[in-house]
Formats: sequence, structure tokens, C-alpha cells
Amino acid sequence: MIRLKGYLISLIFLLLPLILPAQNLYDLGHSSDFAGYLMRTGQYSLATAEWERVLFMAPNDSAARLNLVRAYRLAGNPSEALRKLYLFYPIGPLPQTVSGEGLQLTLMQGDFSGFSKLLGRSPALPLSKKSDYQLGAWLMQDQWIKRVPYPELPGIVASAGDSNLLNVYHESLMVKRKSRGTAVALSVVIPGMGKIYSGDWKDGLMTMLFVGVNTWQAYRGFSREGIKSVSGWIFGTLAFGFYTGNLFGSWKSAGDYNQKQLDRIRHEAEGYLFNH
Amino acid sequence: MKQKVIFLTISLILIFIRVPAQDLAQTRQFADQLYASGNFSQSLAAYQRVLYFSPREADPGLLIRIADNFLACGQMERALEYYDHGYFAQTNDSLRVEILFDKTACYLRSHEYKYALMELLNLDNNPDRWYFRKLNFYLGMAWFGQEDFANSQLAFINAARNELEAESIRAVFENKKLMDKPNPKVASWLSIFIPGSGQIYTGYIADGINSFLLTGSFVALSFYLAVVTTPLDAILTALPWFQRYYQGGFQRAEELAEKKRAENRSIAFDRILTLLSTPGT
Repeated sequence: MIRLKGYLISLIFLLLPLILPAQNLYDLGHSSDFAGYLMRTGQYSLATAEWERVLFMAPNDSAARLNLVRAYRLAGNPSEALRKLYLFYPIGPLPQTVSGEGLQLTLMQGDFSGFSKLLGRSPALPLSKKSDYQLGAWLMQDQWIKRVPYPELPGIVASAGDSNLLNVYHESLMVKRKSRGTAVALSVVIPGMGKIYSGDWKDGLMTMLFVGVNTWQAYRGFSREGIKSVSGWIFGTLAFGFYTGNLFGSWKSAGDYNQKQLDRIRHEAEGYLFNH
Repeated sequence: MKQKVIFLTISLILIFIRVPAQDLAQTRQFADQLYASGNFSQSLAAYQRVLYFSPREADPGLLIRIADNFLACGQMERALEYYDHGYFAQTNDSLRVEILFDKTACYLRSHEYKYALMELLNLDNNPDRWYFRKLNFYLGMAWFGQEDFANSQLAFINAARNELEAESIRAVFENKKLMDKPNPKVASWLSIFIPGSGQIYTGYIADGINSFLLTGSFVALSFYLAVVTTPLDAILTALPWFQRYYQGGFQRAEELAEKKRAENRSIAFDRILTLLSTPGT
């Protein structure tokens, strides 16, 4: 009996390393842990692969789903992030954190119709946050510069929570849209005035100078030698060319001004709306 | 007897139980395989996994391998960070020096020549011939990147294996056509006096002829207008055009000369590297 006990104890000690499970670094717990580390250190591309593995092992892990969507977004792949979000949550109300991700992703993609649909599926989102997103969406489109009527806007502004975003909104109210028609009409009368109206005063003055000088030279040529004046025709053609170019340039400069304002307001709104 | 049979059966079952798993050592081996086959992004993930789950203080070799992976993936800042971690984790002096050379290589690849020089000039003197050559080779590259060709020449000559190599390196640096020509200031001044001549001096014949004809046309137009009308007409009408193309011409001549000179110096640099890396020169 004593010999048997001794034999058993030594056998257990001998086989202990063989019967204890080895540390598996690719199991669910380790993969989740490591994925979190990759997110914290900003290695989002590697993190997406890790979260995919976690979800393969635990498909219903809601935290992993959210992290995967976030990792794709932060890795610069918003289209894949949105695709995953719709895959995980095809219908029905969304949890609050997922709503936030989804709304950001639709705005990043410029999918304003998708944004409206997701907003409708976000009952858990606080009103102030919803209003922030709606105000941001308004500022990221071109309706504000065209002053397109939006009856819900006063209510949204009243309930928005982000003061920085509200400042951007008030800034947008000060922006005066430049009319292309007005720019061209001004340039018809005084070459270069359309560009000055659009804020491009240097280009406008140069246009005035070129058209003016060439027209004057053409006039002088024709006054001296009549219709047979070579220099009159040369300068007249140059003046006509500059004049026509000035009309197109004025039309373009008004459009460029409006686009610059749209881009500026949009970038400011994105900076406050999208978290990193 | 019965007891012995039962006991033997249990022992045999226990011997054959294996729980399949990938532990630290296996993951490290897997990472090494991926690294060896050039799958750097995958090996990076695997090495970091090993580092993250290592129960003891980090193995300096592992830190350096992660740094090498980051370098291979083009992530210079992270590579430098891990070279630093590896340096401080390493206790062996000669291996520490190797890490500093790796870090310097990282700086050279990202054209941060000043930082490369800071690392190299802090290294201790070592009588070992191989170390001396390697240090001077790196110094030569860093000085070259800084456009300090005198120091670069000295360093590359120190890195030469024999007198023949040193002579060849000297010849490359003394080749003015490769190292100093074309001179951007000369190109600019040439085009100031004769529009287009700077571009021709640099080797851009078509550009030079184009500049000459354009600027020349406005000069001719000015003279014609001055004769046919008044000098004031000539100034007001032709001067804005002339000024635009004349100024653009000599500025372009200088830019083209700088670009051409940089290309020539790049050829010189490649020649020096070939000389120093060709076996048995």
C-alpha cells in the first residue's frame, strides 16, 4: 500500500506538466486582451484582425462588435466599419454607443439618407446628442449656404448640447453666399469687378489692367489708322480674349468662394463631431 | 494485480492527454517564421502578442525584432521607440552599439540626418577595425545627407578597405561635374543676362529655347511699340508680359539647376555605396 501511494504521487508529479493546459495566446480571453492593447496603442489595422478573431470565437459579444466597428473607422476604413455595423444590427433600435458610431460613419461617408434612417433607430441617444448630430449634418451639407428652409432647425439649435458646434452654426449665419450671376454681371460692366466682389481682388485688379490697357491700345490703333490698323486688331483681339476670360473667371471665382466657405464650416463641424 | 492494472491504465491515459494550444514559445517561433518569409505585418502582430503576454521583463532581442518589423512596415517613429526600449533593456555593450547602428539606419532612411549624426557622434571610439569602418560608413552617409561633403569624404575614406577604394572615393568627390554642377546661382545669373541660357547650361535645351523665344518676343514687341507709338505705350502694354516671363525664366533656371545637381549627387552617392559594398574591391 505504501509502495503504491509513493508510486502514484511520483507519477502525478511527473505527468503534471502534461495534464495542465498550456497557455493558449490565441484563445478568446487572450485575444480580447491583446485587441484592447492594440487599440490603446493606436494600432487599429492590427486591432481589426484581432477583433475579427474574437468575434469568430464569440459572435454575440456586443463589446467586441462595437470595438471592431470603431477599429475599422480609426484604421481609415469607414465603409467597412459601416458594413459591419449593418451586418451586426440589420434592423431595430440601436444601443446608444452603437448609434454614435453609426451616425459618425454615415456622416463621414456623406450618406445623409443613411444618417436619417439611423437617427430614427437611435431612441437611446440623449436629445442633446441627437441635436448635435443633426446640426452637424446640416452644416456638412450645402443647404445652409443656400439658406434652404429647414423648419426643424430652431428646435435642433435650442436643444443642441455642444457649444463649439453651436459657435460654428452661428459663424455660418454670418457667411454671405456669392451669386455667380451677380459676379458675371459686375464683370460685364467693369472687367475684374466680379472677381473683386468674390474677394479675389488681386486677380480682379490684374484683369482690369490687362483688359484696360489692351482696349486702350486697340482704340489708339484704330483711331490712328482706321480699320486697317494691324496693332488695333492685335490689341483688340487680346482685349476681347481677356474680357471673355474675365467673365468666365468671375463666374468661377464666385463658385470657388462659396466652396471655400462650405469646406471651412464643414471641417470645423467635423472636428467637433467626430471623436478619435 | 487488479490495482496495478487500473493504475497502469490511468497512467497511460494521462500520458496521452495533450491540450492543443499555442503558448509563448510557439507563438515566438511562428513570428520568426513569418518574419523570415517577409510577412512583416503578421509577424509584427505575433511578436507584440508575445511581448504583451510575457510574464518576465522584456527580452531585448524581442524588442529589437519588433523595432525591425515596424521599420519594415515603414512605421519609423514606432521603430525608433522600440529601438530605444531594446537599448535600455540590453545589458551587453557591444549589442547596445548594434542597436544604435540600427536606430541610425532608421534615421537615415527617414532622411533625419541630424539625428543620425547625433547618435553616431555619441558612440565611443573603438579600436576594432570592423567597427571603425562601419561607424565611418554611417557617418559618411549622414554627412552626405547634410551636404557636408568634406566630412563625408573623410568618413567614407576611413571606411574604405584599402588604398584603391579610398582613391576611387576621392575621385568621386573630386568630380566637379557630379558634385557641384550645375550651379543654381550661375544658371540664374545666366538667364538674367540672356533669357533661356540658364536652362541650356543646365541641360534643358527645349526649356531654354522656349524661354528665349517668349522673352525675346516681348522685347521685340516693346521696341516695335516704342517706335510705332510711344515708349509709354511700350512700357504699359508689353512690360507686364515681359516681366512675368523674364522673372519666371531665371527662377525656373535656378530650380532646374538645383534638381539636376541633386540627381548628379545621387549618382555620386550610389557609386560610393557600390564601391564600399562590392566584395573584394
